Amino acid sequence: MARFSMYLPPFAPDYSGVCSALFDLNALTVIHDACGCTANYTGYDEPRWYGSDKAVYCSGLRESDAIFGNEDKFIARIALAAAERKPEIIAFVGSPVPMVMGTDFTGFARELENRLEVPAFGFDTNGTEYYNSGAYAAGIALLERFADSAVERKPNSVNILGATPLDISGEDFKSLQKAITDAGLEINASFFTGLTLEQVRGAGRASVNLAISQTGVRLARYMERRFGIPYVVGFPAGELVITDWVSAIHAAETEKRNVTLEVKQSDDASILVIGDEVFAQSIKYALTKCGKCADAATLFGVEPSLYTDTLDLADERTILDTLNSGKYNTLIADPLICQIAQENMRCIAVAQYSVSSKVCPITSKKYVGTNELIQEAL
Amino acid sequence: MHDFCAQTLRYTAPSHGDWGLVRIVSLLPESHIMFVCPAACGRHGALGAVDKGYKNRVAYVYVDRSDIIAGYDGCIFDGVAQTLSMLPKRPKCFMVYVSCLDNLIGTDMDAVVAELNTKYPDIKFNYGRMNPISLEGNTPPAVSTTDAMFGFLEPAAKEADSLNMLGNFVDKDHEGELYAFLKSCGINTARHLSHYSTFDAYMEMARSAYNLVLSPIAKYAAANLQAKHNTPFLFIPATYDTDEIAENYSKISAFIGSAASYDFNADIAETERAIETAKAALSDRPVSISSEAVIKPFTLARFLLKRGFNIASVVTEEVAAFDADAYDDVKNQVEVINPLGTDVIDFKHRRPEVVAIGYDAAYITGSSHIVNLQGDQGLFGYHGTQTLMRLLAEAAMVESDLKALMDEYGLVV
Repeated sequence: MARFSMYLPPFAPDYSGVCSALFDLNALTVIHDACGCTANYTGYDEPRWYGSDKAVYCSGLRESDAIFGNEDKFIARIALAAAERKPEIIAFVGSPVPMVMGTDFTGFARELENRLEVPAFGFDTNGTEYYNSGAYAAGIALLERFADSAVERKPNSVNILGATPLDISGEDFKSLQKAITDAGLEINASFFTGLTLEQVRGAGRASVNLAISQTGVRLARYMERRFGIPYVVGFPAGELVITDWVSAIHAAETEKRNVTLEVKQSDDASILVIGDEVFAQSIKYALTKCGKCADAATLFGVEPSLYTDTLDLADERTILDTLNSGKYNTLIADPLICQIAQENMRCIAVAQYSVSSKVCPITSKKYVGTNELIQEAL
Repeated sequence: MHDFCAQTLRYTAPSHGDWGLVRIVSLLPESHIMFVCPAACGRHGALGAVDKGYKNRVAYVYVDRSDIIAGYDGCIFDGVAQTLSMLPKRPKCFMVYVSCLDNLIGTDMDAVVAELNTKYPDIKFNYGRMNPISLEGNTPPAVSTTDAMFGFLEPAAKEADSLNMLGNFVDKDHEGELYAFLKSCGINTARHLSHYSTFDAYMEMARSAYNLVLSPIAKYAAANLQAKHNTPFLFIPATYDTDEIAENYSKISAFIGSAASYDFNADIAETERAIETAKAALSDRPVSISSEAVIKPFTLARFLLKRGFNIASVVTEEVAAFDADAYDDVKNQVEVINPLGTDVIDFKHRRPEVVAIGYDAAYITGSSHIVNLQGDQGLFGYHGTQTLMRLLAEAAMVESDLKALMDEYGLVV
C-alpha cells in the first residue's frame, strides 16, 4: 500500500544495501538502471565513494531496452568492463524498471558467469524495500557461494554481521572493533566493512556471530542454521554495558545459545529511540542499565521472533503520531527525525546514513563503547 | 550528437550532476511538488532539497509492487488531498511527478491532471516525468520539466518591448552589456523565472514578445510556447568566443527586428584586457574544461587555443550538435575525457597542475585550482568572457576544496 511522506526523505533502498555490502570486495557491481538509481547510491548512500576506485557502474538502461530487453547489449557492456577491471565477482543489481520489465536476474547472472567465467550474482532489488533487505541478500549470496562448510571452529573468534556504513559510522565501527579486541576476542570476518572474499570463505570458523543490525540478525540466523554458530544480538552502547555484552558473547560460545541484549518495555518510558531495530534496542538496553526507561522503535520493519516490544514506525504518519503521543520528553534519532519532533521535545541527534546521508546538519554523538550518547540522555 | 559511452557501462563521478528536478521546479513561485514513485526514486531529490532548504516544497507518495500492478491513479488523488491538508498555505500551482517505471505502466497523466484541475479550481496542476530512462528521446526529464513549468503560462496580450530568457537556472549577470544592448534594441523588460515571488506575477512572462533560449533544455518548451502563444524564440547558448559573441548579438538584433545602437567597443577592449591578464596568470598552465560548466566546451577550447592558452582536455560524455564544428576543429589537439568512462576510477588523467573549469574536470584531473562554474551560470556575452577570464586567473593562483565547492552547490543527478 502506498505510503505518504511530507517531511522526511525516503530512506536508503534495497539496491544501495547490495552495493554497500559488496563495496569492499573486488567486485564489478552494475545497477540496471538509467542513471538516477546509481546516483542515489553513489551520491547519497555510499560515504566511501569520493576518491574511490571501486567498480560500481550504471547499465545505461533506456526505454527501448525496457521494451525489447536487449540482454545481449548489457552482457556485452559488462563483458567489456569485466575485461578491463578483472573482478573476482560480478553483481547485477535491480531497480524499479527491471521489476516492471520482469528481468530474470538469476538467469542473467548465470549467463554472465557462463560467458565470462567469473562468479556472478543477480539481485532482483526494486527500490521499494529498505537497504537492509539488499545487504542481507548480498551477504547470503556470498556465504552460499563461497563460505567453506568444512572449516574448523576457532575459539574466541567472532564475525561482525551487518555493519555497512548505512548501519554504523566509521568511528563507531572502529570503537566496536576495539571493544571486541579489548575483550580478548579475535575478529574472524567483518560483514561488511573491510570484508574480503577470504573472510567470506572462512566465515564458518567464528565461534560467535555478533549481529549489530537487522541485517546482521538475518545473516546470523542463516549462519546458525548452516554452521551452527550461536549469535549475540546488540552492541555495547555505553561503557557500562560492555561487561554485559562480553558476558553474552562468552555465554553464547560456551553454552551454544543465542543471546539478545534486551530489557522489557516499561510503561514509564519517557525516552524514545528510533532507528534500526538492533540500534534502538541496544541504546534502550544501555539507558535502562543507567536507570532510564526508554522505548525502542524501528524505521525498517520489525524482525520476526526477536524483540517483543519494538515499535514499528512503518510510515511518516506513524512516526509523527508516536512523537506527538505525549508519552516522551526525549528523543534519540537521526537529526531529520528530530526536526519533525515537537519543539518541547529534547532531541539527541544520532546521524544515520540510511536516513540523512551526507546532508546531516550536526556532529553526531558516538555511541559504541562510549557514554557520549547515553550521558547526554541521562 | 556524438555519445562517447553508447557501448559501455557508465561511471558516476561524485562531481557529476546539477540542480536536480526538485530544485528546478522550486523556481516556480508558490508551487508545490509531489512525486509518486517507488521510495528509492525520491531519495536523491529529497536529500538535495533538505540540503538546500526547500524540502518544504516537495511531498512523496511511495508506491509499492501492488500499487504498480493495480495502477496508482488513486494514490495520486489521495496524495494531493493529503498534501494540501498539511500545507500551511495553499499553493498556486502543483506539479505531480511520476518516475521511469510510468513509461511502462502508462498512467494517463493528462486525465489525472484534468481531474485535479477540476477538483481544485484554485490551483493549477501539471505533471512532469522524472524518467532518465528517456534520456535518448526528445523529452528527457529536464526538457519535459521546463516545458511543464512554462506550460502554466496562459496566452496574454503581448508587450513588444519585452522578452523572456529561458533555460538558465540563474539570471544572466546584470552587470553585463546584455541588458544595455537589449535596451538599445527597444527591449525594456527582460524577464526570468527567478524574478518572481508570486505565481500571479510569474504569469506576466506570457506577455513577453520574444523568447531567448539560453540552454537546449528549453528549446522544446519554447517551441510549444511559439505554438500556443505565437511567441517566436531564438536559441542562443552562451559562448566565450568573441567572434561568436559579436555574431550572437547580430542574431538577437535581427531576431527582434531592431537595429541596435549599442556600442560594444569598450566591452571588447575590456574583454581583450581580461584575456591577456588570464593568459599571463596561467603562464601556459594546462586547462581542462567540463561540459557541465559550459554548454559549448569545444567552442571554448577552440577559442582559448586560438588565443594561445594551453588546453589539455575537454571532459564530456557527448558532443552536442551546436558544438560539433568546434569538436572537429580541436579533437586532434586536446584530449577528450569521458567522465562516464569505466576507466575513470583508475585516475590516469590525474594532472594536479591543471586549472579545471568545472567540477568534473577538477575531480578527474585531481586539481584544486578550480573555476567554480556550472551550466554557464549567469555568464553571457563579452562580460561573460571577462568573468570567465577573471575566474581562470584567480583559480591559477588559489587552491579550493572541490568537495566543499560541490557540497555548497548541491549536485543532484
